[in-house]
Amino acid sequence: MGKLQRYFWPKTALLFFLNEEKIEAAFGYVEKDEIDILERRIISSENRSELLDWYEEICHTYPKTYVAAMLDTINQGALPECGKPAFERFGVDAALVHSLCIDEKWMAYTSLVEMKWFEQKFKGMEFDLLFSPFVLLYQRSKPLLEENPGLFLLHQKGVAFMAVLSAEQMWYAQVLLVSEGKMEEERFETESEEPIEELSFDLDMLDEDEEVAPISDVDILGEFKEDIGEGSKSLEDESALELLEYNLNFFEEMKEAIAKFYHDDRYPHAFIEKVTIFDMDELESDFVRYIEDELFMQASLVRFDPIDVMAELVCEEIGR
Amino acid sequence: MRFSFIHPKPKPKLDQESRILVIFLAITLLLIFGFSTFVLLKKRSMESDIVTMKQETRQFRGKSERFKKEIARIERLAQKYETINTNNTLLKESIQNLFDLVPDQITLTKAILDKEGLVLYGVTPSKDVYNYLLLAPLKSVFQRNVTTFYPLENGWWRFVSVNEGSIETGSEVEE
Repeated sequence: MGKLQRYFWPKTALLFFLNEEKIEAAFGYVEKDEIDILERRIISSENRSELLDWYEEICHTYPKTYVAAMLDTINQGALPECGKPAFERFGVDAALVHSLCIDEKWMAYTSLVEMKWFEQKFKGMEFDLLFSPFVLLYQRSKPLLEENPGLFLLHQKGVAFMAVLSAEQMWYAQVLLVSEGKMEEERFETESEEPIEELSFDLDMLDEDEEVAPISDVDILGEFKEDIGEGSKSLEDESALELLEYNLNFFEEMKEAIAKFYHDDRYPHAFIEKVTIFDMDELESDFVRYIEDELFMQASLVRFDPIDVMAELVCEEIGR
Repeated sequence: MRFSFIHPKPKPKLDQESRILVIFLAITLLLIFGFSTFVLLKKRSMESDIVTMKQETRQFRGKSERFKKEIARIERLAQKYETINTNNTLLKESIQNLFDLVPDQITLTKAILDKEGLVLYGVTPSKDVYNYLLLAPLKSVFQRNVTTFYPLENGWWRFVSVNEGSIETGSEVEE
């Protein structure tokens, strides 16, 4: 776009995505093959009005502004085939989802209701483009695709979008929800679920004469106090522990997903040798080493900026 | 190829201010164009008017020349008329005077008044009556006087007096 055209008829884009408790947004001119990013802002997700104000300010100056966002909804996914039969085959209710066939190879879908919720969350903003994280992952992975399938993960705090991709096709895709306190939750869930057969008993079978007394040993324990120690050090330790737990949970989820890919007959099977993690959070190289040691896979960690990938896609969508 | 779940919405090409500016410019251009067209048409119309008016001017100039000539002719005629009228008046007065000059004793039988002069025919009782009573005033009027007498049986004299000289007579108007 020439300078004159940029001055008189500018085509601009506002790109944003939600990351944890903040919204990362960028504004720039849409050029022929790229977006010339002029400004980036990080806005608290509670303070959405700031983003809306910025949007209105931009629209007032540049009426030809396109708004693009990455959908952060949970109920979305990808299927390795296009067309309605794929929904039936993989147990997705086609009436409740909005789908998009990519490269005539695979299909990204999202819950219609959640997509509307997302739009409603930013009421007052007219969305032009909504991208699935799988589409962003695919776009970013394209240069790395080979003949043999590789595992590609787009990691955001608390969630990871996993896809097994090769140059020819998509093999498998899944959304991994990574909980920070998964162990505790699991324990809680186990308690709330149906009683385990070995432990279940019939209360009527108890001898009526036998008294049911409280466990006195608990009383013996007395008042238990954890030694908190010095504040900052303990906080550091705590956060390190949380991170470790999170990484373990993530690893477990990943392992389960890979196992599902290997064992689910609806998907084609192939051995995965490479893992590439596109990280939007703060995963460390320890996690990569852990994967390499535990899963015997070649792993790599790459920083991922959705704004850059969205910029490429926006250019392809509207820059033509 | 599509990557987004939704299609981009059509965007307005211009913002409110630019739209007003464009409308203003369009109106200005329209006015300029309209005015230019008007001026052009007016110029063409005036050019054709100029040609027509030149022709009319030529015609009027010709007519004017003709009228001038006519006026000159009429003025000349009027002048002539005036002269003739004056001459005739003078002649009338001269004739009246001439007749007043003729004494009672002399009887005129014929008088011819023309450019050349006055020719009188008549009868006089004597030559002296004629010479004293008629010839004297005729001499004061005409430069040359020639009188011829013919005796009559009764002793009177018939005379023919030819007077030439200054009296101008009224004649036809020369155009």
